[in-house]
Amino acid sequence: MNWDALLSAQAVSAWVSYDMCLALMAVEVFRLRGRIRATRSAVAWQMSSAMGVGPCQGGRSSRARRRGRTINRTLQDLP
Amino acid sequence: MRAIAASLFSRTHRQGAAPDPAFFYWLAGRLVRWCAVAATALMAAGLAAGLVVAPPAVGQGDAARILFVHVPATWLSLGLYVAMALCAALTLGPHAGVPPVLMMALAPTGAMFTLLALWTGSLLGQAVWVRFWDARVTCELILLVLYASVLALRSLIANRTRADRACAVLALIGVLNLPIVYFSLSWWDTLHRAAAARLIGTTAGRPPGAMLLIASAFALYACAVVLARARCLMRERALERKPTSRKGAA
Repeated sequence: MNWDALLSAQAVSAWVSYDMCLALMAVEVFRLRGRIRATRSAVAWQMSSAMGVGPCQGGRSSRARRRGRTINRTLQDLP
Repeated sequence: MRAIAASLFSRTHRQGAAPDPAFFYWLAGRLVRWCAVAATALMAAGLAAGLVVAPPAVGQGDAARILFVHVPATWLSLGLYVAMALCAALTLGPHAGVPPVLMMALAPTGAMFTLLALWTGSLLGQAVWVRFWDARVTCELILLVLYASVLALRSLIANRTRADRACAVLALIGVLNLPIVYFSLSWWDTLHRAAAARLIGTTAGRPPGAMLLIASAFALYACAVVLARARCLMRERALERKPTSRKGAA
């Protein structure tokens, strides 16, 4: 492998461009993941409070399952 | 396609007869996964092709590899604005349903691709003709300001309906910038046009495979992110309509 070519100014510019591309996409995806989790938990909390049960009742795994079912039910109530 | 079009144009969901936004929500959830998987695979292939497989351009060296990212990013920045403007036009019409959500979901991704186009364009210009700024970069900067203005306006207005309509008007006004961006190479005879023609000419006169791979990856990535963000916005709007009461959980 020709390391001199890989480390030339033009090659470094290309590497920086690709890195910038991946970094911007990663930042957007991670911010979106946080937003997805926040809205999902808010919807689950709302549905569980409407049903009169606490959102943390029943342990972690069953809570996660209930959240999944709750969200599915909630979606039918969307606008 | 007919169902997708119906979900965009119908307003019957307000009367509870046909839950079209719910169908859009379900469809978006299915499409997000496939688009994300396909975008990841194509992006990996495109990066390998652009950085390793593609030979350096004659006379330009490795700087031509930046073109494989710069050109698709510019395409996406313009294409997403066109999509946002279409959603804005539908938002101002009497049948607004999903379009305002899509319009707001498109803006951050469009801004991201515009920023990427600006960044890579400046790097490419500096490497090729030792100038990092020209007329087209200025037009792209105006496009970035338009995306940012839509996002800022949305956060400034508390009333959701008014915010949607104000952002739609602003997005439609910004459409005037699109032909300026597109024809900037013809209207202003800058170094950009000659350098771009020379770089593309060094790749045997056809669109490089790496560029097509990365463009496809960008398009699928944009689909996945926009649809996922649209789902988030729909959840947030549903929560706003039904404010949470903490008394019920006590």
